[in-house]
Amino acid sequence: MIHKIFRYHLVSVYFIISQMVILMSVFNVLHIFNKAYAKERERLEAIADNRIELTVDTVNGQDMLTGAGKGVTKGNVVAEGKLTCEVAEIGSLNRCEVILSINEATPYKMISGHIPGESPDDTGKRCVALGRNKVGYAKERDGIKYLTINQEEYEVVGIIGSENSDFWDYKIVLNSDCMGDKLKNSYKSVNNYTITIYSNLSSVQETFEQVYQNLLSADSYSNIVAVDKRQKGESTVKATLQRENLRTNVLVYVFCIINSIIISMFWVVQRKKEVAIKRVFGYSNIRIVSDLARDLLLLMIITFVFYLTGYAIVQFIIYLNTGMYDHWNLTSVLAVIGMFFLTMIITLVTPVIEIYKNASEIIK
Amino acid sequence: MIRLDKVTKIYDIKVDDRKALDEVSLTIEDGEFVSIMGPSGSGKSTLLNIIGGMDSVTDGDYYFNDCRVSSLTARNLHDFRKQHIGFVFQHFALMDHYTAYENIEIPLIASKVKKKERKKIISEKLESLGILEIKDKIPGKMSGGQQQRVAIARALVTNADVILADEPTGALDQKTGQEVLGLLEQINKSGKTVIIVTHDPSIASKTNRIISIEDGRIKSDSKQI
Repeated sequence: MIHKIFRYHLVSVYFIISQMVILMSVFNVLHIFNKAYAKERERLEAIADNRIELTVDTVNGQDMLTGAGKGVTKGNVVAEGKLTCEVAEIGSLNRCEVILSINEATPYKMISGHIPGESPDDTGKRCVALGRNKVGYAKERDGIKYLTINQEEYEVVGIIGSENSDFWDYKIVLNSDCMGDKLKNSYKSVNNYTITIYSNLSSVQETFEQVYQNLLSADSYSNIVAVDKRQKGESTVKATLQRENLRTNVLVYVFCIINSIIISMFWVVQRKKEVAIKRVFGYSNIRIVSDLARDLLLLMIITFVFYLTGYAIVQFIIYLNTGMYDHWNLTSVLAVIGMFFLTMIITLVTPVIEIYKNASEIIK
Repeated sequence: MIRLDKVTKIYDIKVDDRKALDEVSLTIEDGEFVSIMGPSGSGKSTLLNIIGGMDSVTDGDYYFNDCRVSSLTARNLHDFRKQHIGFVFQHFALMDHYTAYENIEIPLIASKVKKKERKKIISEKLESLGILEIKDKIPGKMSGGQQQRVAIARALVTNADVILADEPTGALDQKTGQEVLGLLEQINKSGKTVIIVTHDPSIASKTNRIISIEDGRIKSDSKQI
């Protein structure tokens, strides 16, 4: 059977290559969509039920962070927004967030370890939790990872990440009780903070009032605007899709479809004599079309098997290195099957038209 | 019996109203060995194609036994060809990427003969024509004579009543051509009607009846003893 499919060697090989590229572009598009929506799902899951966001403007060069979480017994408090830190191993400024108070489970998904401040061993120590993308920069000594932040060495006590998406991969999470003096001092010159108070267990009103007082104690002239957050914030799907070059993959798919049509036209030209002879000797047009469709389908199945084998190997390697793998749902599977048959139908259009020509003219 | 009654064929009236066949009437009885002779463009291949159901008539009627072939639908014409006609072409018309076995198998697959039965029929045919050893070869690996034998085997496998051969020795050397002609003679002696188109008088002289055609009209129709 295999030798029958590969009678026309070159064309069959070109067709397989073309189909492989089609599969790659289709899978890439699906992967991008899955990734974008998985990321958005993670983002939404991370949003607590009760949130108050404070925008703090200060000009007095005070340490606003160290005491902000004092006396807080409910919910968690985190400072983010324009906070950055200088990481020597990465060689640039990086966005980070600083936990000011932990009183319940944090939303971070941990691959290993914990968030700074969650363990009593963290007190008085400079420590940080890093996203999967960042942890690769850390240097290791005696089995412990370290990162240099604002010229001081921090122990990496946790690695943040999820098997579903890369939403957590770029996090640098510090704790105001586990920070070095140099970093604390650098934050005195920051004029604008965003402090989020959140909880899934209780109202955050009491915590807000405490934090508000703490901030005013640090700088009585600071301007604090508090907003009770009800919405889920802006979706990240569009940004992810734009960043991931979705359009390129779609263009590649369209190009490959055109290529498949050209190959199939060439295939029909190659088979013109065969088609004419078959018709002369009693093959119906439907029979001829179904033989061609069968050969195309078998080639596509062979391509699919090659591709899936390669895909499985690549996924396995990615999983070993990152702990992540592509997630599939029924929609994805149906989309792949649908694209498969759409490609086949488009590829068959021109051959079907050619096959209905007059046999005797072709024989001559 | 094959009967043509004032058959006219014009290929494209809008382009050229020249008649490829002009009111041709003839009758060929079962078991005849007929050659159709004429110069290039005389209409002999057109006549053969019409008899074989590969071309339609513009005017007139074509009967095969009691069936009015000229009025058959495309689907029925296709069935008619399958049941009654076997073709042998000048340049063999074998499928280049198919083996001898697979080429001969084509009419049997079209007739929905089962695989086991096909194998039996093809093996017998290959053996009777002395080409069993080349059953797994593709045409590119065969000689001209072998290819034409495969083509003849293909024409015979469905037990067609009529074998139509369009210049069957045209692409062969003298010796091989005579061998092929000999095969066609044997086929005729087995009871089949064989109609050969040729421009070679030496080939035509081997048949029992010579029909000469020129400018789409029958010029002469003579039986040889």
